[in-house]
Amino acid sequence: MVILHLALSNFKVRKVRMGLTLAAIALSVSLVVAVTSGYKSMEGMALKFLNQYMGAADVMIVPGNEFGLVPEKLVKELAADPDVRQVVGRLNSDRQLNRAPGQTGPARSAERLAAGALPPDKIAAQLIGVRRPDDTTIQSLDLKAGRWFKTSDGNEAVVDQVAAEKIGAGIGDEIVVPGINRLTLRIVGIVHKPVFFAQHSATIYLPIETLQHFAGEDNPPLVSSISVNLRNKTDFDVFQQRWTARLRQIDPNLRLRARRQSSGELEKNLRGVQIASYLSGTISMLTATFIIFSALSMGVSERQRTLAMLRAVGAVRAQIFQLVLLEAIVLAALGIAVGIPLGMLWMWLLQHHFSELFAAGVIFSYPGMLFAAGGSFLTALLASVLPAWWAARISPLEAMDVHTAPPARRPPILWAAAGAVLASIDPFLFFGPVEEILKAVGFSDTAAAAETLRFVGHFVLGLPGIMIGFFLMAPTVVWILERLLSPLLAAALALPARLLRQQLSTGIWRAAGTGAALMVGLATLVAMQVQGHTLIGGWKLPDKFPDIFIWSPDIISWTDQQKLAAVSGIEPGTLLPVVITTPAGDSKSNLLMASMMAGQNVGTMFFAVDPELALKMVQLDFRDDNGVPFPPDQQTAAEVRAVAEMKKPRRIVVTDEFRQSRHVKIGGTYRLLTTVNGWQDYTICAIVWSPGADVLVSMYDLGHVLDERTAGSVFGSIADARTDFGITGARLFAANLLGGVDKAELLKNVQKSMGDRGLAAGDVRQIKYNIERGFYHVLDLISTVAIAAMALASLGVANTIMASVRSRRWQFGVLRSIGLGRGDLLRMILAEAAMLGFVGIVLGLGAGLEISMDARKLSGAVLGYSPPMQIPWRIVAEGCAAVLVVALAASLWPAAGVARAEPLELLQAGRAST
Amino acid sequence: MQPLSVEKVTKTFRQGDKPITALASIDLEVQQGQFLAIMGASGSGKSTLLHLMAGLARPDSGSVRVNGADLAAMPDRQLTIFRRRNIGLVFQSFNLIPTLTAEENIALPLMLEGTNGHAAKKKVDELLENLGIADRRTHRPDSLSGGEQQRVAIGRALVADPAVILADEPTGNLDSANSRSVCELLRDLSVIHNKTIVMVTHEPVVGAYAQEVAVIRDGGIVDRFDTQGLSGHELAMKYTESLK
Repeated sequence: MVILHLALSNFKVRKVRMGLTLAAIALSVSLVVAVTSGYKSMEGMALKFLNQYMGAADVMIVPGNEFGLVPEKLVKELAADPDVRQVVGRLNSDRQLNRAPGQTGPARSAERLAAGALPPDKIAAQLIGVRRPDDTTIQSLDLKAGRWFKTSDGNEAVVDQVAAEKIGAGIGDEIVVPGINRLTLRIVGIVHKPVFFAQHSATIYLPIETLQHFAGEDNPPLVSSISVNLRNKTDFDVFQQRWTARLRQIDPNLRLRARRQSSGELEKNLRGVQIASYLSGTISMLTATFIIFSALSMGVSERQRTLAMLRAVGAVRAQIFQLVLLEAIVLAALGIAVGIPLGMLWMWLLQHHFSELFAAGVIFSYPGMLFAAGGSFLTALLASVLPAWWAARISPLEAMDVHTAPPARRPPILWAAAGAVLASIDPFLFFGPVEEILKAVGFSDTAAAAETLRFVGHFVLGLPGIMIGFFLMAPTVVWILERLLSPLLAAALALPARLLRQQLSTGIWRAAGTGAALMVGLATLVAMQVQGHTLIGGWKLPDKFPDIFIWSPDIISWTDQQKLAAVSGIEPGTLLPVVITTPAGDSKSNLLMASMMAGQNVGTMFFAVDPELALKMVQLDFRDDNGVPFPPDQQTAAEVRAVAEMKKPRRIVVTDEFRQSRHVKIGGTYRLLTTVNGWQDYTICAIVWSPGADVLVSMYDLGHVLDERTAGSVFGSIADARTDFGITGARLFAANLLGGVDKAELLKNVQKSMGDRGLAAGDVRQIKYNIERGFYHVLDLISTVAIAAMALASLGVANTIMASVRSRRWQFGVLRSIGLGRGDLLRMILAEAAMLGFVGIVLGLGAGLEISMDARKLSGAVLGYSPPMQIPWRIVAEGCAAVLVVALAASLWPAAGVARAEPLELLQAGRAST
Repeated sequence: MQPLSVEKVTKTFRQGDKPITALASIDLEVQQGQFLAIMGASGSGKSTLLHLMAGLARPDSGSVRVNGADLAAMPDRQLTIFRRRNIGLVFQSFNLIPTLTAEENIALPLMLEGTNGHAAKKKVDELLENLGIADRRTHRPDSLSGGEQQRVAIGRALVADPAVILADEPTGNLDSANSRSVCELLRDLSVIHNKTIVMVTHEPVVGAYAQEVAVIRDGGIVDRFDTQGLSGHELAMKYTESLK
């Protein structure tokens, strides 16, 4: 009880300082609560949308790839199953519609238009064909006006509210859908869809047979998916088993997906976001840890005489140790008590301002709250161990000494050495002789063991080792920087240099803790940005690459392709159809890739091209079985060999990334599951490297939310695609342009020649630019976590400066008495804050760059691809500047306070201090 | 058994490279109920001797016994608990806990002992009354005068009913009126309550309140005399004589 009493009495007297520490903990806790609850709310919204707009069916029958369809005859067969209560099929098709005059969308730059962005006079629309009156589930949608159409044919349609506004159509109006055969629809109803989803793609519901005919999917009738609701008490596993076997007979490409699977897959897809939410929470708690450490160590050094006196009157070491520990626990408890409601308040405010983002309401994450609470306690305890140990070691004799301890003459080298050892763990994992060590201790498969050790060790030991290691090295950094910077800062701020000497080292661990708090944000920013820029920066297009890509929502038959090839502006003989399909069932997955993708099915994308034309238009780098490029004089021979081989049946060319992840060789075979002929062995006839290929993969990987992801791509011939996959045409074409041809004009020529079929075109360089831009936007968004950590650290800086000022009030009183001006005193304290900022910068840069180098090696180990490191110096410099600004801004208030005080006030206050 | 005895105690310190002998084989005994003042010039070793008697430092050789227990032989935890129960300390700069009230500061040794009951409260109340600061019991040190703070410190030193009270320059930060008041209090504790008190001072007028004065010079006791019948001036003369 006496310990608790002493701890609480200390809080009562040092209200502002404890308040700042408490604020740091509370903010950190609230950030964790808000971010994890934000994720949960987002998941809830997505699941609600999944249920409401994609059908809340128990089971869905879907094709194994986005380009496949399901025979509608399956609906009747399912309906006859005694376990089936209701079954409906729907057909989806994506189109571009004209906006209403006056409803122009956002202006687009010429580059973006050339990249395939929607022109401002168009909107993206998803047509959903529905069989009426059978499909009653459609009535769960929120019909705001009008009615549903009653038949499965005819030209009536229902649109969502955003589409109605953008097209400028209401009940009774007609809209035209471009295509091979133009379709005119009359709007009879308007439904409400969450704006968040509606803004990205308008939805038009129309009779299914009308859509099947329009899209050319009526012979035989095909649908995109079939939704099945089962009767109560149906044994789901038996049903699944029965129909999985049946589907395999009809089309091995078909999949049966349970609702729990869909929502489970959604959860898996969002798992990366969930992990990111917890990671950002961890970063903020790490910052709070250093702030707590700094505050507690300040408390110990300031109360040295009090603690010594407690020892003198009979407090044993254990009681002093418990006192400091208890202060940390009380701070954590109060921080949690404030932080959790605060986090809930953030969520409420966000919902109030962005209600459309919270279509399912605010969903609080109780595991997130538990994580915040538990994490805060743990961080408080960890942060208090060293200060408590120091406090317990105070001798009672120090009660007799009225002066503060002199600053250390030497830096704490032993702590720095310990820190260096800890910080070396991660680099050792990636650059050290790990395989040799594993072999020496008896591992037979050292390569696999090393990979696992590196992956697990990086997160469990390496990253914590870096953070704690740099923290332990911080006092030495403080000591060194103080000596280096104080003359420079003194000169810059017109102060006597001797006044700035040893400002920080009188409270070296206090300064170290604050520097470490600043380090966390900067290190996170540097690591994220370097990794991001390295990954995307290594993506370079070759010199020889098609000028333009054209894509169509409808399959363009081989016959119609002649018309396209003849369009004015396209260089004759350079129209390259690119057919894409995804055979499923690829079982040769890299273990780590599969674990990273959290159990998702990993398939392979099959790109079918004319090999001779493709190799003429695309620059490729041919490689051997070890990924080593053939010498320049052998590249042509390799190309000629590849072309010759590709003319034979069932030959593929693979990328080097594919080779690394699937462990394949030239001449070896690779099993692919084909739509028409089942499993077939394809022979690998070449290994190539071309970052340009990633453009194609990226283009068709974008927008995948619920479908299976692809992990690699292979390139085969159009002939094999027709034989094994039943391909009847192509939607994507590459082409070279005649000199001086304007891309927008080319598109108009294409439309003139082919009709208004909703074709779009893009310059691949602009596509790459857009992809990169999107990626950098996401990177910047993620980096806001680092900015939040820096802002949190500002509380620690304010606390440190206040403690430093308080402990030297008598000294300041003396200085003011003998002639130091208010402005001089203010600049002195700002100089101290600047030095703290520089400590944070040095530590942050060091830790951040080390993490980046190690992460690059980890990427190489996991993805088989390790591009050269790229450091975005401008962003890094901005981060460093932000740290400095944060440190200076946080010190303004205490600095101004002491500068305002009169000399006598400072002298008396200093003498009365403990 | 004497409450306090010092036998052949030696203590040296290092000042840079030079060893400084603060105490050179000192012997000293204090009887029960005796009020002894140890006087000497600055740097004579008087404070060091007091620290050793309080168990705040350990001698290089010799022994310090309180109630027969050898402080030098005790491990840190045992020594701390012993000090809490048997030695009361009064410092020059009061050394009160700034975050506790007057009554809490007095009660501190009992709180550390885990004694928080009715008996403890009664003891604290008694001390507050006897020390004349009952009306200031809820005030923190920053709102007490120097004399009041020192009375609180004396109360804290007495609350555990220690065998010995050690005071290091207790009047050093007080004006003459408060100094007199504190000295009279200490004398009454010795005479009326039979407390054993050792006080370090460099002021003869303060030393005159003690029953005996031991003069220390260059780490050794050079004189010890009774103060009965001596005025402050006479004591000062005798003290000066002893230092020659």
